[in-house]
Amino acid sequence: MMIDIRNVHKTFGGFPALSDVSLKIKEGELVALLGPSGSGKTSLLRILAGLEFPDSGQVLFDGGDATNVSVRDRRVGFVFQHYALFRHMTVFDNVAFGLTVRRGPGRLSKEEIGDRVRHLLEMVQLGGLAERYPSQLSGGQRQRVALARALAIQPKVLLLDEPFGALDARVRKELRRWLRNLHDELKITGVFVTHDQEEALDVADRVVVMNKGRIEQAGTPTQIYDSPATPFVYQFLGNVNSLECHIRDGVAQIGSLTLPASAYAGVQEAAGLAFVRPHDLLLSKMGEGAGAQAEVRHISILGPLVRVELLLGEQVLEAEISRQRHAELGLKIGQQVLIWPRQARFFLRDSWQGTSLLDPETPIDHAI
Amino acid sequence: MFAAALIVLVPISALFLRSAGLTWDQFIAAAFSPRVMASYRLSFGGALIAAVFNVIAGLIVAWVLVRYDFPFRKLVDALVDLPFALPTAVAGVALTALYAPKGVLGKALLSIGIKAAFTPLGVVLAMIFIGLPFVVRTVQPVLQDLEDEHEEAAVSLGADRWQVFTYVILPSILPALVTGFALAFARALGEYGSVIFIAGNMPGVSEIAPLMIVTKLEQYDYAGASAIATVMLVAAFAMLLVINSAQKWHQTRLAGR
Repeated sequence: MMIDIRNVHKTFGGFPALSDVSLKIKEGELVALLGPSGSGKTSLLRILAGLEFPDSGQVLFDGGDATNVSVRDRRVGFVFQHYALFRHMTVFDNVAFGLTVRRGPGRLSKEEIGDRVRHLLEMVQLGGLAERYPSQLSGGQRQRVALARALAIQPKVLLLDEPFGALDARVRKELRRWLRNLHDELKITGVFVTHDQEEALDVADRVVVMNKGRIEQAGTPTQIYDSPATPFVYQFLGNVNSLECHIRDGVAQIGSLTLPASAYAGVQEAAGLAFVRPHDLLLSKMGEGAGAQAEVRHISILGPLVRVELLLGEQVLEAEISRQRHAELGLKIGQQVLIWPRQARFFLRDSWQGTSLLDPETPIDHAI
Repeated sequence: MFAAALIVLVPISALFLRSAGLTWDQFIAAAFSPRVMASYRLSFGGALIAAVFNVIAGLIVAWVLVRYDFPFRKLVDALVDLPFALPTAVAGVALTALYAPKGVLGKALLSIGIKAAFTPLGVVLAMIFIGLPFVVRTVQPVLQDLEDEHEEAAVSLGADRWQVFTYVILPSILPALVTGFALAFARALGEYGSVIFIAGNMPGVSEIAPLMIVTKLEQYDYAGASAIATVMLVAAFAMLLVINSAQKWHQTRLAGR
């Protein structure tokens, strides 16, 4: 199903949970709403479900206005963060619930319900556990029961609130793959909420990054990670060095490091922020290339990578280099090195508009 | 634990020993005479009716207190405890004044042909009055702790309000309701002070079992009194045991052991 969210506002007791949120979700797409707690992602999901109603704005399902349709008539499959399984019912009865409460022409016979529930339980790999109670299941199993229960009513859209939040790391990863495969198989439109960027990037077709009730950026995982639209997205996704800089006539000055910022050619004098990913920071020995001089403050070895903490002027930044490069450089604490960002992005302090990527062809003679 | 057992068990065993002084025929005569049998019927029957009524009324009161916000909600919440706090004789006098043929409610009831005071109906009314807080106070915290998620899940799966109540809410609060029922029933069964005034105490009609015991005591018939007490004790214990076992069974099933 296609979903169109138009200019949705929502406040809770004077606190704006969502301000002017618009988003289109395509048929069959799996979308992640990503953001810190309080960013409005769960409110948006609940509005999609019909568990909350927006103060203003519209929600359209396949072009039809669904803004005021109640959750009962909306036919969405909602999977709650803590699963909300009925603990006095067996797994079978939980999954069958949506079918047994159905009245009127859509009502199924006992045999039909049994067949469908058994089919769903097979699909979520819980075929043998139909007679168990929720308290007898592991977290991952409960999650799958919740999913099967939501799918039983053949929803037009599947909504999941922090679907892996309450699980331990190993199960989470497994279930993530599994959900992705299930989605590819069923081709159902899906929206899930998460605060875990890895989860969002790994599972979703499209990631919507939210902050303070607004959408910061919506795009494919690659777009989001490689070209963040705002400083917030930069900082929220992955490790990043944010450095104070001055921008003048298309040139950015970070301490003693001078970088081209061609998008700001017209800017006379402005304070800005430069974002550099640790793995985009190249290190070389003094006198062996271009860059600014920095001091090595700390070295930590993280498996295949080495994280180097550097002091550039008064600003601390992190670089990640390979073990091999680390050996070549023979780094020691207190040593002076040259640093050069392979890629950097600038944002003016006054506005977050306009960005620039360093020319990737900038001559660098020591690429890792 | 031992001390507590001692405090409870010593008086109870004394009761059995007392009635053991009777021969079997004497015991039957004392404990199962027609007049005493009528009082058992009123006490157990009345307590049962009152407890059933209280389960329904108590659930409604608890539901309204938890789910709705209205003026003076805190005050109403506090009023629920009144039957707990009121000396039972005061409650009895107040109820009698209210339901007597010349009382406010009594007059109204009489005008539609119902006589409340000095009949078994009055007994039941008093039993309802003193039992209500037991149901409200056991159900209220459980209702309060119910998570919205379960109801939201049920509605999102297409359940209507009645289905949400019967399939999701009721099973969750059932153990608390049963506990409330047992407490209200036990209290109504043993109640003396608030019942005897409104009962009228007509032999074979509106005499409760505790009154029969007091009557025997006043006639210095200690063995007869303890015979009736023994029957009540055994019956009450059996009923509470059944209720508790049902609770236990229900809980073990949910805990999945």
